[in-house]
Amino acid sequence: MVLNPIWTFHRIVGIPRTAAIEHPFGRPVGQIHDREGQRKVLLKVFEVLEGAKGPGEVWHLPFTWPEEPKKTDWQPPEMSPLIRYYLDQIKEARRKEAEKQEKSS
Amino acid sequence: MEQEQKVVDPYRFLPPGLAAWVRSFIGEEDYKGQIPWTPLKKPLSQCTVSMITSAGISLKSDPPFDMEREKREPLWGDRSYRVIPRGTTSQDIDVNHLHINTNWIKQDINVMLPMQRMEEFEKEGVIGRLSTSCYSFYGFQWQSTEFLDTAISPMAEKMGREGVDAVLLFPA
Repeated sequence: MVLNPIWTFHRIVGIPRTAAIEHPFGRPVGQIHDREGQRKVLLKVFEVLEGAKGPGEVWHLPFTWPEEPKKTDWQPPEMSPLIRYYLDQIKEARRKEAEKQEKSS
Repeated sequence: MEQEQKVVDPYRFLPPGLAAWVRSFIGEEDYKGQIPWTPLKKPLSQCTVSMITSAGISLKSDPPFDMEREKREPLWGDRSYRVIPRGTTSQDIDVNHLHINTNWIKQDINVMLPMQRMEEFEKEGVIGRLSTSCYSFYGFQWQSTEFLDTAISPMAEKMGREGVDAVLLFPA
């Protein structure tokens, strides 16, 4: 079973059991040295493991990261090679979404 | 902090451009193919549980994952894996990954591969036991089927030999 922020990946690969968690990348289990917080997350993961009844279930865990996304410092110090490679596509995707939002508003 | 009936926002931590790009290839429709399913055959308190992370963790005594080739070839990701034995602590590891800030994991392995937490749960009888071996691979695998042979199959075979009943995967 998978503990994953981007639970929607399930839509393209089909994952047997997913525990969705709204934590920053690189720290899905919780904050550093927060033993109790990490235990709470894992106990919920165990509930999914034992409680899922069939393939493809996504359980949303009830945790919220205490910092704003920009303050979580999860990104690498340098832009990853993949992002640099696809930067034009990324900008284009953003432009298309903004255009779509503008049309629908 | 906990909320009742939360629906996780999968893109909360992504910058807007990156979120739009990811959404563009994920789409809105549910998966239509066959999804593998292995029911849990016994209570968790009797299960041997293993863990895998895609965070690029290696023991300091092992070769690190290859970042240099990825810098030269942006669509290539290291296709090997490392065994992370139970008992491994933050002091024993190195972390190499070009897509995340690895400093948090180096400070506390449990945020990514919760080794000490699982050992606690074993002692408390919440799980049967933590497997002798846990694993890390390098999470950036861009359309690579070779990776199935170089990492997934050998990890699965080793889990079979160690009698693993359930596996927790922690993507970076």
